[in-house]
Amino acid sequence: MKTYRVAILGCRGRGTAAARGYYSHPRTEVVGLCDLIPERFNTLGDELGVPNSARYTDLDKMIEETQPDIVAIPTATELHFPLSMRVLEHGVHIDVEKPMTLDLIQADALIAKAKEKGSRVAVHHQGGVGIHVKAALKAYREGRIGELRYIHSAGKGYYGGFELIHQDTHILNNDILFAGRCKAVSAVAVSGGRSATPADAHRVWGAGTIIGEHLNAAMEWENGVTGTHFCHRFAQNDTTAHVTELYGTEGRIIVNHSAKQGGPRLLQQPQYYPDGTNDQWQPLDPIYPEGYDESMSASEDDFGYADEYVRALDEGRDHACSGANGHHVVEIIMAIYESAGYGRRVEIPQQNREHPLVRLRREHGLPDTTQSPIQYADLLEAEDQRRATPAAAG
Amino acid sequence: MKTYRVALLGCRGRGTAAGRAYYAHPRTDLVGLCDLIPERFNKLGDEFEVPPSARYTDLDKMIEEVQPDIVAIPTATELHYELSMRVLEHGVNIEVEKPMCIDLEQADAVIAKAQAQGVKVAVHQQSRAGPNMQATFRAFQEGRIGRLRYITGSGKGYYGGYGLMNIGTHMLNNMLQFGERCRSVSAVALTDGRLVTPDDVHTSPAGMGTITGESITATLQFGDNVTGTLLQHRFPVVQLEAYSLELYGTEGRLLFNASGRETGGAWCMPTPHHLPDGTNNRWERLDPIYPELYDPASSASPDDFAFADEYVRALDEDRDHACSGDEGRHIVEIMMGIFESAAYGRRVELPQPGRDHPLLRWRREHGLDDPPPPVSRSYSDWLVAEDRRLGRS
Repeated sequence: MKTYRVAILGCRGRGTAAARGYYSHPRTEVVGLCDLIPERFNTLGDELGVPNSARYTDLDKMIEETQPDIVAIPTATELHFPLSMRVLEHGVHIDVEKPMTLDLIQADALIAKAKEKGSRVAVHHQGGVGIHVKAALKAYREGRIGELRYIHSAGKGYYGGFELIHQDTHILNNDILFAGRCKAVSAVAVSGGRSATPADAHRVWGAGTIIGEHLNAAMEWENGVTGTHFCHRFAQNDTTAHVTELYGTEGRIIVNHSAKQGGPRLLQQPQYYPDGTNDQWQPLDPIYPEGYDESMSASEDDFGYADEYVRALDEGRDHACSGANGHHVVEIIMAIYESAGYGRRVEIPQQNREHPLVRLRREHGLPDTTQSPIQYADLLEAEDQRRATPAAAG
Repeated sequence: MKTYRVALLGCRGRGTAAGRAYYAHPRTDLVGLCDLIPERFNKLGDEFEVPPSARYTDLDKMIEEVQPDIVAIPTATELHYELSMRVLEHGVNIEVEKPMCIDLEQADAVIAKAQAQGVKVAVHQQSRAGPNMQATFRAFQEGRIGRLRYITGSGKGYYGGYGLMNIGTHMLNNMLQFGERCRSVSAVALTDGRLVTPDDVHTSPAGMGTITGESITATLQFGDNVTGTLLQHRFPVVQLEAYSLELYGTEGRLLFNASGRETGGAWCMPTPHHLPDGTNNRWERLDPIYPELYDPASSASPDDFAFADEYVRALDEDRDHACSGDEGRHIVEIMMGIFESAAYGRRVELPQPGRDHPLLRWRREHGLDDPPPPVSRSYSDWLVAEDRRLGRS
């Protein structure tokens, strides 16, 4: 059985997590590390036993010299597109951190490049192959809630438009696993207690152009399934809120996307209310990847993600969190922004691939906004100040 | 203290329910009954001790002779507008069964007529005044869930467009109690799993006007950052348990379920997000709040009695009923907004400038006439015909 060679491009937090997944897996070997800051790749290299000779600041050199099968790209979001394109030029498979890109022009180009090179793209939605979603998917596929009719999901309380692309890419990827393709969305964005206007669309570091302190989106999925997803800004983030609930004709499944909240639960009747009878949720046992050991430094979800890539490459197929799904997630996100900005239902795939909020501002004679501060807290402060000024109401 | 004189126009199921409430309330007298079918008013008249001389087939004569303060109009929906206008001509207060009207032109005319006559309009949304909803509202007012941010409500599983007009009126009325005015709606209507087309616009069974959508999912925008979702999804079989309203606050949640006096109820949870993990699902059942004068031994339901009680208080205080005509019209605005948004695929700001029925407009713009009358007034017969149209056995 082949052992896949993996190079890591970016050695900060997400890079460390991804590398631990590949390092722990018996069928993958971390053969190279790359970062612009040597302290980072040295810390990780020492932990994972990657020799000094395989630690790089030049990604092209790393790929040429270590000849990886997979390059993981767990970098800052703004860099996903340029780095993915540069890595794909080498004809290797990639694993790019979520969100895959910041707009559809980028996503289209990335998928086209991978196709041209015969490479596979996976997007690091580790929760999509995680122990809890796997358990929920198993119960769902066994028909334990009957036919799916509705999906409700919610973010954990970041600024709405920011959360949609920053965190809720995970949720949307999971929704796709249950409901298939999203056909259209109708969304409402509220900022400061009123409908968001073009002036409320602004650029944020690591998220592109966003809109809405609070976002509500109604989704049309395949087979007549509808859903709602909302990202509401809370005073403080709360991972308890971070859920997907599946409403079936015969039952319900609720999944919390934060591991510390425990696993999914099943209700064996379609309606829920807390009367002691209609509230008997049963826990579903998490499904751990084969070979996973809790003593490993890798999280079970990152290990499971690496494991799925191994199986996909063995079988000559895409990862469950494929580039196609990641691309579709970006379509859904852009459609939500477009629907919220223009106040109309948006069908997917959308014809116009330009970022809809950039287009919206231009059509209203507004210049592209300047980049916001990098830290999320600074972003919030800047946004609250911006909204407090009279010009923001325009 | 004045005792208000009430005349009842329509003596079938809803008329019986309303009649029992006014009969049971110590501050209201049932002074007249009217129906086109004498068997109906006689049965009700015998139950309520209304003398044969106060039983009518002519509503104008009844009003002239019994001089009521309130005329209740619990008739078939398609008659609400016509009868409301006729009764208002007499300058009496009315209470009309929900939905108040089947389009905005009618609703505007009723409100204008009431204003011209200097009388009040109430819409019989009895669940808002009911004990479990009152308990929910009190907990909300006491700040037990902090600041409201989201409201979600679901119908019982009727065909979406029909359910919206028939039962969704109650749900919207309940939502407005918490979210106040609705500023815009954005809706999706599916029939047979696909987006509705003008051919999917129908004349509703049971006189509910023009409808569309087997399943409707609507996003509502209230004031102050509050948003909501209303689901009117058709189920294989109607499920009362699905009829619920949930309020998401910054510090807790409230849940109202109306599946019946024994099994329904209201609950409060002291944490803002629900997870069935033993910590974030500590729902506390709220004690229902019955109207002060309600006698459980009476034949009146607590919801209908509370509705009558609220009308007494409103007239005493010379103010509108909590379920006022203005609010009833706003509910029609929301429902028409939902149909318009679903048809045209765009968000609809309320109040909408176009007051004609948006689905008829939509059909007209596609070169289609108004849809024909339904094969039957009966919902179940109508559903069979609709399933047949959709190629289902």
